[in-house]
Amino acid sequence: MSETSEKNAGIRNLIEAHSWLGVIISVALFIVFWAGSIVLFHPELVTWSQAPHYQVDSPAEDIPIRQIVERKLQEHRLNNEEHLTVLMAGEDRPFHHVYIDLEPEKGYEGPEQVAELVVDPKTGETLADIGDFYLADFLLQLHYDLRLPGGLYLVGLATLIFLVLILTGIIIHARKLFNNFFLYREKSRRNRLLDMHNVIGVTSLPFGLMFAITGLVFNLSIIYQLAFAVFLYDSDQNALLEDAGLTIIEEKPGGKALDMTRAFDHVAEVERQHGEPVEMLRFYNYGDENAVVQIRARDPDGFAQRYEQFYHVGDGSLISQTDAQNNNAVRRGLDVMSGLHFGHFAGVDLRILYFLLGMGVAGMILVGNLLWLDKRALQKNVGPRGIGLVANLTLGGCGGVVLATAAAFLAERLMPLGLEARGDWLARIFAIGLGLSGVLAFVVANKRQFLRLSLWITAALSVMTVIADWALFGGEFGQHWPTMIGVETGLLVVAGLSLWIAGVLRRGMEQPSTPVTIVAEPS
Amino acid sequence: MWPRSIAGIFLGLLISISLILNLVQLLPLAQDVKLLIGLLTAFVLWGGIMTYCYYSQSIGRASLNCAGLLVVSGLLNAALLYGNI
Repeated sequence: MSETSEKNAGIRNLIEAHSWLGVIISVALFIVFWAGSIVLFHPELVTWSQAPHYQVDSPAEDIPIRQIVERKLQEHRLNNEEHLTVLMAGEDRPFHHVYIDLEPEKGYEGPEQVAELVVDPKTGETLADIGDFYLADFLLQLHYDLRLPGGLYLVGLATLIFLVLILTGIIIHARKLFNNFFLYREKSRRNRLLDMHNVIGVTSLPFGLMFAITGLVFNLSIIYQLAFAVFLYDSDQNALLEDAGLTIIEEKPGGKALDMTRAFDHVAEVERQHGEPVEMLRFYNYGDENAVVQIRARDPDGFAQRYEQFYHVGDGSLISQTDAQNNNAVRRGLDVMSGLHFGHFAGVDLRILYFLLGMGVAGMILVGNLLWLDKRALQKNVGPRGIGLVANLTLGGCGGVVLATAAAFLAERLMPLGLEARGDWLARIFAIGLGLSGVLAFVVANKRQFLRLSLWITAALSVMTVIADWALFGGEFGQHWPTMIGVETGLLVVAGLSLWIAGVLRRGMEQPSTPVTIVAEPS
Repeated sequence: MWPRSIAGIFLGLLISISLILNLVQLLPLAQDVKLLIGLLTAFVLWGGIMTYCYYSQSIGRASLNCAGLLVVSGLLNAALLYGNI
């Protein structure tokens, strides 16, 4: 075989692999991008969920964090061999989030119990359990592990395949990447879809590559971590982690009580000297002679960097400090990757751009599936059952997750605060929405009509959520009104887009000459 | 598709681990810098080898080439890790 024909055969192999791999991971990848795009606004979602339920006396001073911690420790029995963590109220959340690892009852052998409290910074009162406002964390979990057992590695594998899709896509289009950059052929449906897929793929290429590599580091780095530890560190994981810039506190409580005043004085001093508000406090061996406090804040001197200190409370010594001057390449690299992945190194405008690109990739995945379906229908090398399966999974999975997300938003707003296991109910409502959509996609014969109905329901749920906001709180959003209005605007945009797409689908139904892929036979 | 995927995933993983271990051993840089470079490069290598397995005309030839690379890199691993080079 000549070199050219071998190259062409190779490209044909890559096109085949690109389309099959794409279709296999499409639903999982769509969910990851959909949920990931929404949780770019995780702080705003937390504020939207929690803030309007409680009136915060904004001009009042915050109670010192020491008083709040001591009060919570009177209400909950801390297992001081574990941790006590406070995520401070601030830009990212309207209330303190306090996590207390609890002393297990005698004979208790279940999983570790943790009190997770939403605490008013002005009064120190516990307002609710963090898990009661589950929407933002639920979507975050859906993004990184699909809320499945072993989901972290499953999403990791899907991300690895996403990287292969990017690499194969680059090779397939290498010769035409620049020449056809502005190509958009409107006349044929298949060319239109192909150009749309390629345009989004090329314009979002740096963004997609960044997501693939950072996502792999977050989900699958354990593989290389283990390999490095075994071969380079004689299986000593801690030595590896120390070289990677992580501080590991292994000291256990010594048994001698310690007054923690020095810890809180030190936190106040750090805040004063550093000039940035402390975002997180974590105590190890609280109230013991071996107590250590971990202090974390933003570091304004570096790109997407964190300032961190580990301070030994008993002897007043500094165990470690990480900042722009004292840094470690791995640690610094991971901070940069986290900043790039979640877009939290700049303002909300950057996250809106990220959101649009993320949604663009989600759209590209859908278009890719439509192309696969068109091609297989033309080539007739996949049976109607196979085509029906892919069509129904795309419709039920991707359409279902959009509808289920809208249902979860409405549930977050409407479920009563006192409802037992409120967070679990939100997850159930999401699962019911997705499950129903998945089943109906296989059962309903008129797929286009079904998709239109799903979009109508999504729009209705989104609008109902905004109406519920105003009906329940009467516009009394306090100091958080910009966030509330922002989230509501997002919901209304989703509703508008859903209605627009439903309208486009209706017009498509009125033109019978247009080929319709998603009316494949139900399998 | 499936044989190519399986070969790409497993051979890609083993080759990337082996090559990265060599890279980390050979680069004259600080340990933390080498770990970061290793971590970032490893996934691109893994994805690259998978792409090669899909590109190749026959899975047998691709596996053979990958296995050859793995043997060479593995020998260098052994020399660097246990041969006090």
